[in-house]
Amino acid sequence: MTTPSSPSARVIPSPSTAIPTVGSGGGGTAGSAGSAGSAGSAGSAGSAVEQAWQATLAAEQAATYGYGMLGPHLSDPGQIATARADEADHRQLVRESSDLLASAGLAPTAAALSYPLPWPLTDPDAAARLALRLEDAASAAWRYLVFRSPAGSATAGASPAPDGAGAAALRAYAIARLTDSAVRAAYWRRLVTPATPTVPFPGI
Amino acid sequence: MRSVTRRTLLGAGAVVVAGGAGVGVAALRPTDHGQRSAAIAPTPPAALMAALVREQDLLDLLERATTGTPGTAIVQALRQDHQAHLSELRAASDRYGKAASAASPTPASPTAPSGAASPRSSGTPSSPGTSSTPAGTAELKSAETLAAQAGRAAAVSAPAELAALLASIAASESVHVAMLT
Repeated sequence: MTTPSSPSARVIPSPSTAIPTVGSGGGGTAGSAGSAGSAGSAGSAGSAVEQAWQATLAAEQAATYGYGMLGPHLSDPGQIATARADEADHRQLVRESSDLLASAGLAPTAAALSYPLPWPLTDPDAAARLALRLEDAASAAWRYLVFRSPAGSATAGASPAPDGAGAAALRAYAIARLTDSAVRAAYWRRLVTPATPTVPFPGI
Repeated sequence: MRSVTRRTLLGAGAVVVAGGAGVGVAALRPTDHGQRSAAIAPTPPAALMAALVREQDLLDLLERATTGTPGTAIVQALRQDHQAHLSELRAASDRYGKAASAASPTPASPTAPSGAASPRSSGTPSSPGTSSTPAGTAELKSAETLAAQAGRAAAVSAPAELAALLASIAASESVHVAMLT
């Protein structure tokens, strides 16, 4: 476990990070069998897992900010309601992730006061595109945490942590959050790209 | 007790040196190393083989859903996703060597390599190949739900890269459930 003052705590994503781009989390291509299992080994796992975990928090913080910005540009009542629910989800995830990181002895990365928007929010279409981008970025961050977190048997009741019994719980948590983001993204994707309403690999 | 003699130590040292030289030679000959790796390619994880079966089953089910009809746009999107899943899983399986490819499971031949768990033991929907009744939305939704659950469960304990792939596929299947609702 890394203490808040350790060197690895200083390499977390900068709070001034812009709205993340999709796929910025990396995580390797799917399934290269030869190296499978190496990502979560002990020793170096602390910093790698921690960075991935902090990146999910940063993505959730950016999503919370982004939904706050895009909401006023939507006009359809259904879209507005969905955006509000999504924003609430992300806000809750920020709280939850911050608490979990703190309980694991890690210093949660601080949110920025503002995030540069990737394009001007001039109409509902631009707002929906931003919502999709936020969800895809969150999916990528959670998927990367799945990749980085150590494997194990799920431990009932264990609190997510970068090592020990909590490691498997952390991966299970990340898997669930990846699914949540993918499902939220699907709503916006159907609006933004109705001809391709799904993607086969959320988070990539 | 047998005493350790100088000769014994020298002999052991020779073995170590010879072994070290062998390692050095092997390191300088990547081709040989590759051949050895292929010869002892590890067995694909049971989770990977089970996922292959799940995807094939879902594709078969979707095929039944669209038999005789062009299929809705959503069902077509779902089918494309599952074809992509299957393709990626096969590619992952192929990385384990030809033994894995030969054992590529289908509903008709769910053979799993030695050491792999039965693909049917992970909550996979029942084989759609046993029925010719067109699949309905409820059946599709149920199958996608079960596949997503199985994928998420398998991802918890899978090797890192496979876990990321399985988690992503499971997320995709949860999206399918939402779209069929």
